[in-house]
Amino acid sequence: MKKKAGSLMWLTPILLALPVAAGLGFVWIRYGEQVRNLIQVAIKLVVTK
Amino acid sequence: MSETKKKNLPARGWNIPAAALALILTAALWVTLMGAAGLWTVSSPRLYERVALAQEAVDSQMTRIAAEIAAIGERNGFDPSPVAAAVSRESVEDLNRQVIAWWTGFAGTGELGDAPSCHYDLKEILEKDEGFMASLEEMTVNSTVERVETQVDRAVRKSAVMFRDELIQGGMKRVAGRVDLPEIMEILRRLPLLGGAVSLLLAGLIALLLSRRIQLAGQYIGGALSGCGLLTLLSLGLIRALNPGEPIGEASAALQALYLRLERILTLESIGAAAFLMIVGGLLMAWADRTRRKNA
Repeated sequence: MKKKAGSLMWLTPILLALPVAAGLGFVWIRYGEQVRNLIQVAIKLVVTK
Repeated sequence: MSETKKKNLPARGWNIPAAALALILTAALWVTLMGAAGLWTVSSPRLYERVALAQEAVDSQMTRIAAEIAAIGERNGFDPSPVAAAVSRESVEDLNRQVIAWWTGFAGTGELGDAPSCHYDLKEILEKDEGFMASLEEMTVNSTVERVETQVDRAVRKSAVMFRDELIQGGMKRVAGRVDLPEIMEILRRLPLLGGAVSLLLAGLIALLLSRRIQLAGQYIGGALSGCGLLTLLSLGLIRALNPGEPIGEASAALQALYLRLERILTLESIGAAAFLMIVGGLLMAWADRTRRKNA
């Protein structure tokens, strides 16, 4: 039983990263397109032809 | 179970707060790394030198300058070759250094120094161009030469500073005047230090909580380290998926080339490499503790 728990040690980083990753993923899905559009407009405004 | 082994075990309930602390530690480490990377990206002259003074970057800059001078020559009726030859590679590299110092100075201290400039004295070269001189009336020689010099100066400057003049002259000055940039930069500078201190404190707390079986702390701290590495790789992946290089390329191919070089250095070498090392280091830390626990 002990050995089984230890063999799942590699899962710890994934489990620890998962909540923050889920938050990042949510922000990306919700605001990704808007951020992209903002970058596009900002670049057109500041870059000279 | 022997008395010693019993002593080495933490109460089962300690694992829950330790896991919660490890979760916060993962986020704190991620904020620290991203904050440090962000600060380094906006204010490191060496990083910009690697991007803007790379041989291929200056090569393509020289090609663009030669093309611009050819167009100016065609408009004004002079031979562009000797004029293009007067714009030396060293002078262009020097201008690039000025741009880097100007930008990193602004980003680092919030003080907007004089905008980068360059001047090429072309009078002697143009006077040797007999066809060009013959096409001019004596009264207009000086003003025409000055006009050509201004156009060449602007072409060279444009190859190094790809932002609109009005933005540099007006926009950035207004921003610097209205926003307390030194204070913002000071906060940005403190963010990685603060994140690092919080991370150390959290790691210490985890070790303290699991002091009865200190080896287990290694698994939580190592896990947080690897988790931070994974998050950083994910963040880099999301930035790549946003693909800012594409809209930059639509506005300026030259700026896109510089951006892609910067992105490559950040993704593959600095931040990406740090994330990879964190994953490996964290897993090794957790693995070493597990082995120690098994052998104990």
